[in-house]
Amino acid sequence: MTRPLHPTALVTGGNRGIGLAICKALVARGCRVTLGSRDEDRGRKAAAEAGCAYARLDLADPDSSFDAVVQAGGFDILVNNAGVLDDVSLLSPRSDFADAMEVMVQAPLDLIRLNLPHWRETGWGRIVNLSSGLGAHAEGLGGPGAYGVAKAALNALTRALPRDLPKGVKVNACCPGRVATRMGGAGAGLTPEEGADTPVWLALLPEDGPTGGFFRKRQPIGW
Amino acid sequence: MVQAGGFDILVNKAGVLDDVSLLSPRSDFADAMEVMVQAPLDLIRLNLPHWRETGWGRIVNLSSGLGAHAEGLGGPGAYGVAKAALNALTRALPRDLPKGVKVNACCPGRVATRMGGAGAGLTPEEGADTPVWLALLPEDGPTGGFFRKRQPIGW
Repeated sequence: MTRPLHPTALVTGGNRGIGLAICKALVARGCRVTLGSRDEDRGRKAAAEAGCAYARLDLADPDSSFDAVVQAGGFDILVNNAGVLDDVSLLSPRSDFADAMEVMVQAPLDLIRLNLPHWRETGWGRIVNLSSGLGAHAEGLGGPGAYGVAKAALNALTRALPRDLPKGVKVNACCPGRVATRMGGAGAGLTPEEGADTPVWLALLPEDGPTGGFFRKRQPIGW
Repeated sequence: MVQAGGFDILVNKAGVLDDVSLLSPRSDFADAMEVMVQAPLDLIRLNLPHWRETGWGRIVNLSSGLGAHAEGLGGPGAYGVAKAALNALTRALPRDLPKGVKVNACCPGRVATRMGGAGAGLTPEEGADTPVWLALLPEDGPTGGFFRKRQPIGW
């Protein structure tokens, strides 16, 4: 199966930063994009601005994922971009470990499961997991608090999933680099558009493209 | 944990292994993550008051080469992913643990148990050697590492 002429795409955490830049870039490439976000006011505003549909998506609430995917009848492209970053000790009562694992590991897997009937029918799918070098053993697993552990788990999931995905569905992870967003901070080096380049490339990979990989600047990097 | 007043040594050994697709409705992903990642972290948190008081603790996480990127992350179903997450936790925790408390992960090797199967090469006693060594590490021993046969191995 080849790529649909106008693939449908769901981008989680799409209302700002890299997520919004991914939405706009996919729209510019002819995709029919649904922008998912928890904050409905900002999400609807961003979606209107970017020429996207909107779905309210709270990744800590599995029902909202179910509604978003089932109402749309599934998506060709799934971009798991939403993330939470909090610099709190893993051992603190205020640790965000459970939340981080829910939003950055369990919810992406749930969204993939919900999309399966669609992918089984069409035989074409692309999954892009926004990860980070902060979750890479190869780079010292330096992420603060729960962030690095959750991104490491997301990387492991990315590497394990090709065993179980239907033919024609690819899954890859990427590190967008340090982007000047709310999360990356104003001093970061890349624009959101630059950060979106590798995820958008992965979202539209041709049939002979990689699966189960981890990329930065369109190049494979160590786990 | 609370009834015992905490422990000096915590060996997170319990695991679940099921060869079911991650995408099956019968996937054990949530269970595997709970038993092999969240529960070990919970037990560590519950032990903290004791370790803060005594200043000595050892945590041993029974992991597996099946959860190691360096070995291809070959674990079936949710097992490899959960062990990879446990490895990441092992590597991240030294930042937050009190002084005097060490945490390490290990791969016991393929042991002839219910989980490992009868054809596996090691006896349970041989499989216990590295975890027991890690449980009793001296003060100058490693922390945040991953071991097999008492030697560091790749994540």
